[in-house]
Amino acid sequence: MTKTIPLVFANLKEFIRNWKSITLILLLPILIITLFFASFSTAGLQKIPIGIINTADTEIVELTDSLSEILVTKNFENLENCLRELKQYKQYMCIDITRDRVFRLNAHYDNTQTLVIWGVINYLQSTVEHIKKQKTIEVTSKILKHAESGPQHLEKLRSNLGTADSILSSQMNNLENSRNSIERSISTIGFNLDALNSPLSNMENQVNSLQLSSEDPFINSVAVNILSNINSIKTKKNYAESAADDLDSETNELNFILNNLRANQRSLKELERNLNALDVYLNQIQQINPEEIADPIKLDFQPTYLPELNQKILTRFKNRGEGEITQLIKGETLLSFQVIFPKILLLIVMFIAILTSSFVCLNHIKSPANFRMKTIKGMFIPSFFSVYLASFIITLVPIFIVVLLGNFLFLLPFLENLGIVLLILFMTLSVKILLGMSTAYLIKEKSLTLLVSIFLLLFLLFFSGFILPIERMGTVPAKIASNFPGNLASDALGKILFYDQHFYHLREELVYLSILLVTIFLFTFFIKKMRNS
Amino acid sequence: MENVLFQVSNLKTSYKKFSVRGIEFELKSGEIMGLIGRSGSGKSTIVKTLAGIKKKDIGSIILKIDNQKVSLGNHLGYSSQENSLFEHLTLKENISTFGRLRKVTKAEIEKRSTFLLKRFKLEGAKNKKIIELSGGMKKRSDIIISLLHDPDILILDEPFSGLDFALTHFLWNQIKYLSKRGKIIIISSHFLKELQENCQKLGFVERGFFYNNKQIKEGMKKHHLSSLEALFT
Repeated sequence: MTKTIPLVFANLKEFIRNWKSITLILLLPILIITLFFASFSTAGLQKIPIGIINTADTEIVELTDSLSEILVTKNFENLENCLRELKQYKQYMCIDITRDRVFRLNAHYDNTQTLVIWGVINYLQSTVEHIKKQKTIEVTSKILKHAESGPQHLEKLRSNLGTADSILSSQMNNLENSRNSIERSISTIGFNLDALNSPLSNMENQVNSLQLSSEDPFINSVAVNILSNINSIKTKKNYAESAADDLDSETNELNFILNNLRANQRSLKELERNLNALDVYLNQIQQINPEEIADPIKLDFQPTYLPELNQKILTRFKNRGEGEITQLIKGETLLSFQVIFPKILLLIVMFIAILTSSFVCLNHIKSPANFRMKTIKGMFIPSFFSVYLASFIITLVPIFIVVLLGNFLFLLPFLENLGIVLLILFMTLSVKILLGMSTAYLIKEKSLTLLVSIFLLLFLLFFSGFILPIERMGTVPAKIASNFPGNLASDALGKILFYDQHFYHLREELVYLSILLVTIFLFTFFIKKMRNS
Repeated sequence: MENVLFQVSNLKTSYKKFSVRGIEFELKSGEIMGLIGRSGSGKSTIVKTLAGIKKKDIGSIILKIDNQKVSLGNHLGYSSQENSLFEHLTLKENISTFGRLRKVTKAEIEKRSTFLLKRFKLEGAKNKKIIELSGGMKKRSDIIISLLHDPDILILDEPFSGLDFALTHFLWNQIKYLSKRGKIIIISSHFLKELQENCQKLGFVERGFFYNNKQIKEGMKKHHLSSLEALFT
C-alpha cells in the first residue's frame, strides 16, 4: 500500500489535470446523462400522430374521442393517402374503419418504429376492448330485456294449453260415453234381433203348416201374405243386423279417434312439460349479468411493483376509468421510468467504467514516468492496483450523481438500501474497470484500444437485454447473457429497489458476480504480466 | 565513504533480433564510464539492461558495497534519454511520489529535494508542472529524481541531447561533483570528446560486441589508431 497510494494520487492528478480527459471521460458523460434524463417528458408518449379512415355509416365516436386523449388523430379520405404519410414517417398508424354487420378496424402500423409503436398498439387495443365491452353490454341488455316478457307469454300459452287439455278431456269423455252408449244399443239391437229369429221361424213354420193343411184360398192368400211379411221382416232384420254391424265398425272408428285424441292429449302434456322447461331456461337467462356475456373471461393485469407513492394510480390498472388523464399518465410514466432506471444506471456504469479505466490505464502505460517505475523493484502490484483504484474513484463521481438522481428524482430507494446497492455497484463497476484495463494492457495503443473498447461496449449492450430481451435469445446465448455482470446486477438491484427483498435472496447474483470479479481480476493480472514480460 | 564495486561479467542482452554480447567491465566508487557507439549499436539496450528495465540473456551484474554483495534495487538510479516523469504533476509532486515509491522517508525526501533543487538550480520550478518546463529543466528534473534515493550507481542515457553548451557544461560539473562523492556513473552519449575528457573509462559498442576500456586501448594499439574517432571509420 505504501507504493500504491502515491501512485493512485499520481494517476488521479494526471487524469484531472488533463482537461481533455476530464472533458471526454467525465464532463461529457455527465452532460449526456443530464440531457438524457431532461429530455424525457413525464407526460409519457407525446401526441403520436395516427390517421383514421372512417367510411363506416356510424362513426365510433367513443373510439376517436378516447384516442384523441393521447394521440393526434387526423382524418383521411382513403387508406392510400394515410399510408403515404405513414411511409414518410408523418403518421405512426392508419386505422381503417369499415362496417358490414360489425365494425372492422384495420390498423396498419409502422413496425419500423418498434420502441414507440407497441405503446400505441397497446393503447388502441385496450381502448377498443373497453368500447367493445361497453357495446356488448348494451346489446346484451337489450336482448335480455326482450327476454323478460318471455315468461309472460309462456304463462299464457300454458294457460291456453291447460284449457285446451280440459276441453279435450271433456270431449273425450263425452265421446267415450257416446261410444259406450252406442255399443250398448248395438248389443241390445243385436240381442232383440236375434230374439226375433225363433218367433219368426215358428211363425213361418206354422204358416207353412197352415198353408199346407188348408185349401182355403183365403187362408192360403193370408198365409202367403204372412209369409211375405215374415220374409219382409227377415229382410228388415237382416238390414237391421247389417246396420248394427255398421254401427259396430263405426264404434271401432270412434275408438280409433278416441285413441288419437288420447295421444294428442299426451302430446299436449309433453308440450306443457317443454314449456315448463323453457320457462326455467328463460328464468336462468334473466339471471344472467350482461357483463358475463360481454366479458366471460376477465383478464386483469396486476403489476406487482406499485410503490406506495403511486397508489393513486392503482385504479388505472384495475379499470379504465375517467379521471385526470394527465396526472395518471404522469404517474404511469414515472413508474415506467422507475422500472428501467436500474438498467440505465448499469449501462452508464458500463460505458463510463470501461472507457475511463482503459483511458487511465493507457495514460499510465504511456506515461513517461512508467519507464522510471520499471527501474523500481516490486512495482507490478502497486502499478496494477493504482490504475484500478484511480479508475474506481474517477467513475464514482458520475455514478454517484446518477444514483442521487434515481433516489430524489425517480423516487427509488437507493439511499435506504445504500449498503447492498454499493456492494452490487462495487462488484459490477470493478468487473467493468478490469475489462477496460485488460483491453488497455493487451493492446497498449490508444486509438486501437478505444476502438476495441467500443466494440466491447456494443457487445455488452446487445447482450444486456436493453435492446432486445434475453428471453428472445436461444437457450445457450440466453444462459450466457443472463450471467453477464450487467444482467446479474440488474436483477439484484431490481429485487432490492422494487421488491425490498432480503440480502439472502440476492445470494445467487452476488456469488456469480464474485466469481466473475475474481476471474476477470486474474485474467487482467495475467494479461499485464504477459505483456510486461 | 563506502567502497562500491560494480561488476558486469559476460553479459549478453538482446532487443528483438539484435543482441549485444561480451559486456564486461568493472567500476569502483567515483568512476565515470562513458558508453560510446553508433546510433542503433545497442547502447540504450545495454543501459536498460544494467538499470534492470530489460532482462539479460546471460551474464551477471553484481554490486558490492564494502565487499558485501547487495541487490541493485535502490542502489541504482537511472535517467532515461526522454524524461520519465509524470508530466501533469509538478516537480515537487514528482519528487514526493518517486521518493515514496523508493521508500524514502518524508524527512529525507524533504532534505534531499531541498539540496538537489538548489544544486541543480530548480528551486523556482518546483511548483511547476513538468509539461511547463523547458527541455533543460526537464532533464535536470529527471536527474534529480534519479538521485532522490541517494543511489550508489547513476546511469544516464544520453543526458546531453538537446542541451546547449552552457547546460552541458553545468551538467558535467554536477556529474563530476557526484563522482567525487563516490558515485559510480555510467553515461551513454554521442559526444565523444566530452566523454574522452571526463570519463575515467570507456565502453565501445560496435556490431553486436562490447569493448571495455582495456580492449579499446589494445584495439587502438593493434590497429594503430591515433584517436577514438577512428574507431567509427
